[in-house]
Amino acid sequence: MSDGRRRSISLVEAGLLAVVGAGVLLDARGYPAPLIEGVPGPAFFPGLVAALLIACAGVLALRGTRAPQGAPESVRGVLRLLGATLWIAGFLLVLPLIGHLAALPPLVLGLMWLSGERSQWILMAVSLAFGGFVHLLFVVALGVPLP
Amino acid sequence: MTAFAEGLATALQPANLTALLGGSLLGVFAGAVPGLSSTVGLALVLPVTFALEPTPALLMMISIYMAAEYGGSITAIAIGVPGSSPALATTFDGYAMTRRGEAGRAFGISLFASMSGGILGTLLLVVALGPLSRAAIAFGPPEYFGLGVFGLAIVANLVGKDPLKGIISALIGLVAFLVGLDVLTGAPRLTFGSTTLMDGLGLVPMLIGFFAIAEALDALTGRRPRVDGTMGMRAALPRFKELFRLWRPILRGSAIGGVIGAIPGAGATIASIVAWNEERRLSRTPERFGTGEPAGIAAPEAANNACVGAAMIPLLALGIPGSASAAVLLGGLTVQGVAPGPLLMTEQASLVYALYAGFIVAVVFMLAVGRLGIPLWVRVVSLRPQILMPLVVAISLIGAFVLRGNLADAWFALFFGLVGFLMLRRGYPLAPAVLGLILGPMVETNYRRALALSSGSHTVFLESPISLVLIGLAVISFAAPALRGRLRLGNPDADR
Repeated sequence: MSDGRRRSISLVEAGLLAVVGAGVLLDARGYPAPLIEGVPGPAFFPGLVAALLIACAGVLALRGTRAPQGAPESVRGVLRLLGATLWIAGFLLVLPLIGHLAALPPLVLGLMWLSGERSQWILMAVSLAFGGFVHLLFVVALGVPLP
Repeated sequence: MTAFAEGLATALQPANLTALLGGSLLGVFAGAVPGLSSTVGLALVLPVTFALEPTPALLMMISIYMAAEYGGSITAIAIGVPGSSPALATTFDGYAMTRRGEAGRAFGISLFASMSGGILGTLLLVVALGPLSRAAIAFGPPEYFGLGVFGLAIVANLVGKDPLKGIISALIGLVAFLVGLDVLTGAPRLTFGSTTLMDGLGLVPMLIGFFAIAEALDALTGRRPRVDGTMGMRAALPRFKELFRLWRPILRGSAIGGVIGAIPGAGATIASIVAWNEERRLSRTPERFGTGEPAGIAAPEAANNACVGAAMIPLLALGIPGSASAAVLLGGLTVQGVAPGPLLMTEQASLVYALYAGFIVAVVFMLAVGRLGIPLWVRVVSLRPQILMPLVVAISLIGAFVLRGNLADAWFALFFGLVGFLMLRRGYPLAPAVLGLILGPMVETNYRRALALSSGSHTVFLESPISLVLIGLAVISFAAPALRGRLRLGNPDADR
């Protein structure tokens, strides 16, 4: 990875952290005043955490490419992550509508396919068996209601 | 002694024995599969424990913790890839023995040393927990504030290669703790008008997201090694005479594991590496270490299992989780309504004694599962990540939902999974964030309470000797990495 790209990523990271810190500070402005004079109220600790986060973001931005870097992402890895995230989000959206027995096998099947499994027999057998296993474990054996 | 006998009787009840056995099986599996670990194993089993009584639930969790420390050595010895990071030192001599056809002997030594270390670590827990808990009964808000600050200073030992990223991780955990209602005034903070967020983000969704979903996403995007489970297991096991000849390395390894394991933030990986290094240093033939020396397996394996009992000392006596696995265990205790801390020994003594006995039984099960199941485990760990990891994601989401029957928790787990994945990829350790979420309430609430009691005077923190000592320890703990950096030492546990 080039120094320029590393620096850009570090700046994006620092920017995100600073935005989170600023968001906390802004929200804390609306908290009630302390109940006892001289004793910190509900805004004190969030303000402190936010200030530290913004300060750390500043150091991160200044440090730039000198920081230890994580491994670079491949395009394939990013696409897999996006696909997996959307598939999981879809599962959580349909779970209350169609129930766990119908929703779990497609979740597992999709994630296995995304991670590179191509055997149709394995895809079908594992996803169906897992749906049945979860039902038996939680609903039948432990008596925990699932959607 | 009567209390211990009652604890043993409790641990030997059928439901508890089943939990301990199940924990051993899952623990060895979690420890042996590269990419999983005792922490992931514990996070995965959290949803199952919700439906159990407190005693079997907690026994299952300690059994997983104990067995996973041994499980890591299976792949370390079989293929030279540590199943989990505490088994790293075992690869040095374990895999060397496998390559010269002595895998069975290496497995036997690892198992015997793990068992011995597990028992000695438990004895340390039994001896130290009572006195530490009695001392902690005198704690008020200033002392709890000092304890919380000390706990947060542990971050300094968990930061890995980059201290700044460790501190940012802890701050992210503190921001997560702020979401919800302020404990002292009931004021909503960072809820943005959502009633769902008023309950807070919750420890369990964060644990499941960080330690199960983030790991699975990491593997789904294709960076985990696959284990080749073709290693032959017909090699002869060691004789008892040989095992007992290793009593010195086992005792030294256990002592190192007991001391390092009890220090929050130090961890089993550093203990096992220190134990291996000490054994080599003390040996008359140090040049044989790394080439298949039995003491090079015995010492680190005894050390990492001794860490399990020792890590429970600060967790149970003070409510301070010293490692990621201990943090998940704290989640399990909280879910079961068990509040670790100074009053645990007086209010839930029977549970504590059942845990003591449970540790011993867990060691016995670990021995049985380890001895009988080695050929099976080597085959099981060869399960492909593209099959295993989707199952981890699915069971994690269901587990997050099961806690409160609330789908929002599954969304939170997914959110934390993504945040955890990005943090891992960018080199941020996850453990400090979890510590921030756990210790944030202790620090903030007791800081404000102490100031309310002293009419706003900060001298209240200096008037209490315990608070003063704890804050001093926090300063030392925070400065330790800088000193360690000068000595060119690192903490391998800090990677997660």
